[in-house]
This record gives sequence, structure tokens and C-alpha cells, in this order.
Amino acid sequence: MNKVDARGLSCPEPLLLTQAALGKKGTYQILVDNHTAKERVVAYIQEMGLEAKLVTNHDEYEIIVTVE
Amino acid sequence: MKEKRNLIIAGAVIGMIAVVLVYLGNPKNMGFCTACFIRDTAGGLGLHQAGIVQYIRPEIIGMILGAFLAAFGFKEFQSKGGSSPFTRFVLGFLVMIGALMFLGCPLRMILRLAGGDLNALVGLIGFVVGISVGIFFLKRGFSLKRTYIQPKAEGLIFPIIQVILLLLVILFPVLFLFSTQGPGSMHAPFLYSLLGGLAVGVLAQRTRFCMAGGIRDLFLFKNMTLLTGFLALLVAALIGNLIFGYFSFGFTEQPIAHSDGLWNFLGMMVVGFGSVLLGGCPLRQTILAGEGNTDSVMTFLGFLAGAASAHNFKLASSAEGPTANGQIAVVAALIILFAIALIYSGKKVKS
Repeated sequence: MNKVDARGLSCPEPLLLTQAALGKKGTYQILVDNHTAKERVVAYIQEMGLEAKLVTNHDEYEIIVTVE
Repeated sequence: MKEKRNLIIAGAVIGMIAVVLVYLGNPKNMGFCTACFIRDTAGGLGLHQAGIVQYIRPEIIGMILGAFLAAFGFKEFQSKGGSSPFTRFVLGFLVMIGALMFLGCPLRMILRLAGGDLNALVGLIGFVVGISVGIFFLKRGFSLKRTYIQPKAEGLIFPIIQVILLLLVILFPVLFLFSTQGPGSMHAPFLYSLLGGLAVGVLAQRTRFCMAGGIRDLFLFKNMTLLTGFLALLVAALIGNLIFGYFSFGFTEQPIAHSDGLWNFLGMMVVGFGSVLLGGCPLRQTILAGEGNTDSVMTFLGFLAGAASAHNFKLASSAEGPTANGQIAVVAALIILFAIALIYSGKKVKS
């Protein structure tokens, strides 16, 4: 699984990192730690027509997405 | 879609609140302005001695507390910081210098546009150019690096200070300076201003409302979401201004504005560029400061120091136009912004 660690980064960096990473096929684990980044990354993935699986652990969010 | 709908509602309500606050006594096309109101607050605290712009604006206190309450209520309050705090202070300072050259933050720019002030259109072009320059560096890896979780107390201090300030203003107004003439003397009744600020704080926190983010996301991601809030605000304030008879179309004799195109352009270019480097416009930074983001608190302190300096060193424009000192400061601000953008670009954050 490819990991994108965007924890601690503020807008729009988490989305820029996500955008850059999702260019290739594979399963990705995207880590963010603020609600704005979580919402925007999930919305971006959904706009791409992909499914985002969201796991909330305490102060962090883990978003799993598979690009086929 | 839900996000867009909420942003449209928030933008429209903020636009209406701004017009109503003008009706209740705030200066024209300045029902709400983050930069101007922080400047007035700096004056009220005695940080500068410009007698016409001194008033502890309850809108700012309300915004911060509104954002705090909304974040707390929705379990989004989080103490965090450590992403180049002092660089953010400097960026805040520079953004304020640019805003006071133009005479308004991006929010007031839209309100001025909605009032028919065409100088704001020139400012908007500068703002868009500044944002584009910021995006250029974002694409080259610009980052102020990561924030870290901090003890809860760290993020709570700033909202608590607002409560203390609010109580002091109500109980011991003699401690503060109040303009008897000029824009600082024009204000809606205290309670209405506070309620307006609280409402804007809650709405902006819930919707992540940001004036710079809208244009940035359009260019960077072809995403219109944040921009819809911006447009809704413009339309609502325009309708409000037409109803109340505040609309006056043209370049000249606009309230608290000057018509020097070049410096309106460059002032807002500084604001656009600096806002993208900060990750949000002055309004957004103020909201984040209420949500426990202490980097945004540092930015806010930069705004406050920038506003005080703008008047102490005669950098701020007036209705007569920009000052020579202000022109030098804005050019210097652009150079410093480029330097900061270059220094923090290039090395990608390791993921």
C-alpha cells in the first residue's frame, strides 16, 4: 500500500499531495489530521469517481482509496 | 453539492449582515472587513495613534468566539501549531500592509465591488495576480512545513483573551481609545456588531469560507466550491446595497477608498500572494485562530502589528490616496514575499 502522509499540512497541500499520488494504479493510504483536509481529500476522490474509505482514529483520519 | 449549498447560504447571509451593519452605523462598504477592523482594534488598544481609526471592533471578538463555539460544538477544536510560526507572523504583517494600501481585506473588496466601487475591480485583478504567483510557488513545492498537536491550553488562550477583552471593553471602556470622528467613530451598536461577528464566525467556521481559497482552488484544481461562497456574498451585498440605496457606481468619491489604480492593484497583489502562502485570507486566518490553530494566532498578531506599523509609519492609504512611505513598503513587501516563497519552495515534504 502506498502511503501519503499529509498530517500537519495545511490547505491546499494535502490535496496537492493526493493529486500527485493518485496518478498511478494501486491502493493508497492517505493520512490527514484536520477536518478541512479530510473533507477536501474525500470530496476530491469522490469527484474522480472513486470510493474513499474513511477511518477516524482520535485526532487523525485515514483515507483508503484504490485506483484501478 | 451540500458543501456548495451551505457556502451559498453562508456567503449570502454574510453579505446581508454586512449591509445591515452599514445600515446600523458601520462605515459604507465596510459592514465587515477583517483588515480594517483589526486596524481599528489596534488603534483602540493604543498600538497606533491615528485618532480616526480607533475602536475595539466587537465584530472581530465575535468572529473569533463564534468560530471557537462552532468548532467546540462540532468537536473540531484542536490545539495545533508549529508550522513556521514566526514566518507566518511576518506574512500576516505584510498582508496587512497590502490591505491598508488598498483599504480593505478581500472581504471588503467584494463588499466595495457590491457597492459599485470600481477601484475594487482593479484590486480584484491584483488579488488574482497575487494568487497566481502564490500558486506558481505551491506547484514548486512551497510549504511552511507541518503543524503538531499541542496541549489544549495553548489553543484555548486566544479565545479566552477575547472574552477578557470583551469584558474589559464593557466594564472599563475608559481603558481604551475611541475615535470621535472618522471611520473609527462610525459603528453599529455594540451588541449588534458582536452578534454579527458571532454569526459570521459560526458560518465561516462551518463552511471553511475563504476569499483567497476560492480563486486558488479554481486555478489549481478547477474546483468552484469555495468560489460559490464568494459569488453569493457579492450578489447578496449587491442586492442589499440596491435596496438600501448605498449603491454608487464609479471610480471617484467612493467611501473610504482612493482611486490610484496602480497601488490598489499592487496592494491587493500583496494580499493575494501572502494569503496563498498562509493558506487562507485574513478572514480565514481569524477563524482558524478561534479553532485552536496557534499558527493562525501568530498570523493574527502579525496583522495587528502590521496595522499598528501601517499607521505609526504612515504606510496606510487614505481617501486622498497612497503615501510615499506606503508605496515603498508595498514594494518591499512584494520582495520579502518572493524571498519567503523561494526559501520555502523546492524541498518537498517527505511523505
